[in-house]
Amino acid sequence: MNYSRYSKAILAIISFALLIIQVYPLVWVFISSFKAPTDFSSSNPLSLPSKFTFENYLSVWRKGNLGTYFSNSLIVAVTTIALVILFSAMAAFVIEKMRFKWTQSVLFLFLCGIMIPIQVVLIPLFILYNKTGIINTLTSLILPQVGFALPISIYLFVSFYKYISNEIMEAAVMDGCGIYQVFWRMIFPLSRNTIVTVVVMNLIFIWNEFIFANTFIHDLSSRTLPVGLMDYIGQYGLTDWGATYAAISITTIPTMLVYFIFNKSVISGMTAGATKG
Amino acid sequence: MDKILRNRKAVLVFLLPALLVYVFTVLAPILWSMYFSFFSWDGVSDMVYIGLDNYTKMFGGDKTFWKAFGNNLIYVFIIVAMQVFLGLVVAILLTSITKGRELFKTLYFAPAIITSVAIAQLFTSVYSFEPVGMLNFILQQLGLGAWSKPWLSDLKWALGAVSVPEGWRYIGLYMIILYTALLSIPSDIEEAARIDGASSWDLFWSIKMPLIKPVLTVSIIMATTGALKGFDIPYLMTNGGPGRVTELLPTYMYKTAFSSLDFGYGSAMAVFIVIESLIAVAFIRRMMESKET
Repeated sequence: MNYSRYSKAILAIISFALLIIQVYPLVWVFISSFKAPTDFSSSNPLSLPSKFTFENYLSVWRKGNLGTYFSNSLIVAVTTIALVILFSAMAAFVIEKMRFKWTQSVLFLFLCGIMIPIQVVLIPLFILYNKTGIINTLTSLILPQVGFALPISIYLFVSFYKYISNEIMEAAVMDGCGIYQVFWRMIFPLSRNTIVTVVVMNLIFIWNEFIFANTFIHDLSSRTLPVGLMDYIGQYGLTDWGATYAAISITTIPTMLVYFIFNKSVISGMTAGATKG
Repeated sequence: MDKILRNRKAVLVFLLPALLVYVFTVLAPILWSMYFSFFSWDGVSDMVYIGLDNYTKMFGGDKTFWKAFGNNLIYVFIIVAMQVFLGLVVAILLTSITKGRELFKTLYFAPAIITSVAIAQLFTSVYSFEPVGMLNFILQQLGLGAWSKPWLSDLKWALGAVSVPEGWRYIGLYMIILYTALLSIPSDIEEAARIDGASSWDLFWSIKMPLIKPVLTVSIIMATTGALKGFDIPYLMTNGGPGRVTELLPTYMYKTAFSSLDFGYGSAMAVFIVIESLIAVAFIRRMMESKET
């Protein structure tokens, strides 16, 4: 838009100020994670570390059991995402490409899931998992997360499949492909971009998931990073600020890396999921 | 070809895994929740059918429920104002800036990808009074030291303080949604209006705003339903305290079920959260549509 030079300057200042408010706290956590304990007793929280120390990171790693939490998070994330990709790509294929009477109702049923608040399933799932004995196992985290990731993922795959013309499927069938081969050898590999979007979007949600992990897991050995981080802060947060910031940085760095490498896919996935709700 | 696409067995093979997981983890639990809400049950002893008692208790006698409901409305208001209003302001700013748009977008969005546990801890230290946190320190530096206070334990300010982080983390998300909507307005509409002598602000209020209204409606609905189910950050920062000043319906429901082990009453509240969200959506749609005429 063509605003005057004066108002343009004001716009630039405001957007820069807002940018600082959005980003500075994150930078500040990272900087503070290198501070020595004496730096926290000074009265200026915005100061730089008097000298950079990695002591906080070492202390977190020694005290925090982070290795276990990290690998639990990784197992949950990888399994959940693999299942989400597989299940949603297949279901979307039926909905968009196959001739089946109820495709629109099935799609509608799935899309309803975007609206459903997680709280409403917590009590029934807790009771169900308690009875079946999968409470306290990583399975109790994987199953509901697959369920809640399906609506948006199916929606993304369905919108992509719309662009695949039926002619190329017909050509494949002429060449002797069956329905399974059409899906596996042609449709699935073609949807690479959608797969990337679904992976990075879900990775961030699943990596950060807190409510299921806090409700269904009570054993230390099955905890994921967010709950582990909460425990760490509860236990040491009031006494060891530097280590607390180091723990936050450690849990945040993986998602940050994924985000800065794939930021277009992350943003397009999250906004697509969002605008559908 | 047609025969291959009508293969019933293949339809089942492709559809069943997704449908089974979805039904058992998302759809069926809603029905179970409704069912449980008619019982009194601690999870161990026998379930006792009590009809609508949980609901009459909830609407009639439970002061904490109404307190949490009122808090939730304030929480929703602050979050929607931050996410949609500030998101829109930044989106407008971005359309007028030519350099560094991509960088701005990437950085604004960054808070959205951090776990709520980290955000809760980050803001707990921002609000900290002793040792002095970022907010109180900045107030002191600006000569407003009298305003500095322990925000999270201050009865008047705690609810606001707990609402801001949730608003803050998703400003970037709404900014991008609204920015994309603004960009999709064809430029010839703008040119035509300019030739007719419209100023930038006329253009914005009478042309751009009406054109992005559908997206704006969706954004308000998303922000509202998101805030109605807000749980992580208030639970982690204050757990409803001090007293009940930051208690929200989801935190109250969670404590009722998993700390007081009152699954029946907790389920009734969970059902209420769903109904409340549906009513909010209908209400916002009605309001945004009626503004048109």
